[in-house]
Amino acid sequence: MKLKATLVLLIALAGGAGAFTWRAVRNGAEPAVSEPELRWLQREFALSADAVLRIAELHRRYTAECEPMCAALQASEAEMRRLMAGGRRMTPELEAALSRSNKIVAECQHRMVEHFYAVAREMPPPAGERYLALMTPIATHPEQGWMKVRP
Amino acid sequence: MPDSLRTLLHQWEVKPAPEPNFRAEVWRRIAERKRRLSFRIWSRTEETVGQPAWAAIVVAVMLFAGTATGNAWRERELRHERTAGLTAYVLAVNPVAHAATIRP
Repeated sequence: MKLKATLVLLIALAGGAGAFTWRAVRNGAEPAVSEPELRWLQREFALSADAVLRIAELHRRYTAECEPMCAALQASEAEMRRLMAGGRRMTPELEAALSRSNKIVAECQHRMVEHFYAVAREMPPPAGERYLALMTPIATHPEQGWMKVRP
Repeated sequence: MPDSLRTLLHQWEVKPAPEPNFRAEVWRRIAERKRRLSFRIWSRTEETVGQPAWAAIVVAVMLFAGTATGNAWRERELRHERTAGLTAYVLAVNPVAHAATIRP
């Protein structure tokens, strides 16, 4: 009886551990891309390997273009901080710096929207629509909109 | 009851001889009682689990618990991965947010 009970408990424990592993460990398909953000895109929108490879091409080209825009934004912000710290009222230099900063942000928004449309076109229509809906707050409010995005 | 007996009973005092191992004996008995109780519980468990119907129930409960815990674990991992992936994507495609995150 003692042996039988121990055996039953061992089988139950092994079964429980097996069931846990079966449910907890996923063996999904190998991702077609290496970048974590693109792997997320592939999983989130259930994209085929072909589609994600085409999107990856667009993504890499776009992010390469983003780098100088990001640097320009940082330079413009640094200039505005310097001008604002040095004065107590609006000056023509500060006005010009503000205008330059707005222009860069508007340019970023323009390129972002173009990129979002290009990516959505590579997706099946329902996924493309969902992608655009998810990206809209980012395009409309690039400063804070991205914080409101939830998967 | 005669008065003499009543008086005698009133004066009667019991003075037990001091038991040298009294305290140790009490603890020994408590320990023995505990051991017997745990042995009885284990015997009862063995007896119950040894029966086919109860054995099936124990295995089924463990399978269910393993599956439920595994599901919860995977859900948590997926939620975490989704949030991290989305944040990485947004920072990659949004130069304004990207510039904000690396602001000196």
